[in-house]
Amino acid sequence: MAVTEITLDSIVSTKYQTGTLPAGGPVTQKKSLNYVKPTATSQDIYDVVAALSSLSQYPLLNVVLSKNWELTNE
Amino acid sequence: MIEIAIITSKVLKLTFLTTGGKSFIISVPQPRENLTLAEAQTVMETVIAKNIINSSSGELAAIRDIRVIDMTTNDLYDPPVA
Repeated sequence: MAVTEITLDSIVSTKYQTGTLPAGGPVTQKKSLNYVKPTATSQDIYDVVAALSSLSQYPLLNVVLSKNWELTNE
Repeated sequence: MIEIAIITSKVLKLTFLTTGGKSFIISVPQPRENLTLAEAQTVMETVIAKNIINSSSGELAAIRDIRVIDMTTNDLYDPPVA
């Protein structure tokens, strides 16, 4: 009995700064991009996110990639 | 006293055509004021060329639609600040 991993789609979450709080902290908004291929390279994913954010007024704060695996016991 | 706060926000909707013949939309919040069609097209071509998306109806194949949606919200009521 061995567990095997199956790669599922990844999700890229991006955080934009939409404003500034009176105290000085950033006001943020999250936007995620689903159905990212598990085989896509980090460089390509970042390039796409950077290209998309270049169309927005809001500065990009961070990019988080969530990879998913399904574990099955065979 | 009635104070109406008017909030406007914009969204850029980039619609792609997938290989399965369906639409796949990527939205970008608050697009720049001086955004040109050529810039948006270039970015969409980059997204297609990088080929990182595999939606339920296939990969992204072509540009279908580019639109900017402008929303105006009239916020009529806010709870009083204690």
